[in-house]
Amino acid sequence: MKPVYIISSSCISPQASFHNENLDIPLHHTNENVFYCIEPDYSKFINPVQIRRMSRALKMGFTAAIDCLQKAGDPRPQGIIIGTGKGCMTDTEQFLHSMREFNETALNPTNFIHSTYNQINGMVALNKKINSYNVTYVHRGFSFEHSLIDAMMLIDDGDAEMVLTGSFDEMTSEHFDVKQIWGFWKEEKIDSNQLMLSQTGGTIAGEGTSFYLLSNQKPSSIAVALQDIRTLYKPSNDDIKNTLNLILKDNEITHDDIDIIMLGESGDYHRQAPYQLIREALPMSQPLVFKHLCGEYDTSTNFAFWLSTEILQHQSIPRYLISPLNQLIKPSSSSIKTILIYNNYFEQNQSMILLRLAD
Amino acid sequence: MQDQQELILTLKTQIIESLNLQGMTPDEIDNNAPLFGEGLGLDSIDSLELMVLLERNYGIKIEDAREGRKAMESVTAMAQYISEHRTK
Repeated sequence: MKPVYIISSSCISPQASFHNENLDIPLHHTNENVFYCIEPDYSKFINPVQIRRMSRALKMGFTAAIDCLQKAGDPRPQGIIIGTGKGCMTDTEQFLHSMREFNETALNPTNFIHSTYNQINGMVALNKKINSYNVTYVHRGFSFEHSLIDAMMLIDDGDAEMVLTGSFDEMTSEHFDVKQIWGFWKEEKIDSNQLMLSQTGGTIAGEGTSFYLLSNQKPSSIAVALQDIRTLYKPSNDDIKNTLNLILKDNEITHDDIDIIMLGESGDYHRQAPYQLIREALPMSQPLVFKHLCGEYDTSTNFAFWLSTEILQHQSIPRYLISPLNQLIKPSSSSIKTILIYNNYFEQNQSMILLRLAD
Repeated sequence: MQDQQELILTLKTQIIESLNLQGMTPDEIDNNAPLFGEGLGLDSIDSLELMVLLERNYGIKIEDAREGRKAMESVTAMAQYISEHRTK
């Protein structure tokens, strides 16, 4: 597939990522094993009649999508493709509680409507009157990746010149508790800044949303291209090594061309091995970790994608990223042309996303 | 038996809560103003929420859409309908 260009982006995360051009923003951290997003002022994006019914995930996702379009001058993309691992959990939980409380009678329509995974797709389409291709991917740790792949394919096939794509996921206290029982999160409380130094299993929870307008037309300003994506389901070490070699070969680059590897390391001592394998395979690349900034969730690669795009556009690694967790191995003045994102979502869903500064 | 004025105040509080009319107080809802379109400016999803409110709180199940429209013309109309049809 041909690469696609990122025309605009918008990200709401546990960091001050929304409408913040300054990458040296202070680092937010948590001691509660869960990260929640910093929510923006929604009044500029959502009308008062709509907002009173919307839960947090809907408000965040819808706002990021609309903001992304507005930054590009409000074009009409030929596709809206959104990924979510769990959809709007707040509405889903409220609906399930009502079912139990009222014995499956007299159920609130709003919670039901908003609990459906494609709610943000529909709201964006209605708001912007975009009646073109509209798809939601609910594929756990591949949800964001599959949205990107579909967007690339739609553009590559010539069915669209421009596609709005992105993902969202929210964390609720109940969802956190359920996954705590399953052993997803650390048993002990940990400062997120110390996450990667942990020697225990489990990680910290998170949430976030980011949206991108992708196009086959290169923008006139500094352009970042989404070059390639590969997904691996429960891969062996050989599968990971082979896929890495294949993505490099197919894009006619070598190991040394990867300036930064953005690693989804989550501080889970038992799930560190695949990352070590990638680190060893790319010894000349600058490793950076990101989950101490956003936590773990199904679509956490959306935060890595946003961060990588920002790094390529600004040609610098944000000061807040440089820490004992992310020590620089290259001079900060080195140009950054290529970033490979590698993520391992609880060993099931693994992905590689290649981003490059367009020539 | 709850008198009509008390019922109207209770109903207004329930409407604010169930429709999440943030920042609004019962005093700000005109008893006789239309709930939909003008007046409170509610829409079709709100009408479904109000039907749920009637069923949960007063045991009233509205099956006929025309009857529902009439019953939900205003707060006064709703209170009157509740008084006549409530089962709890």
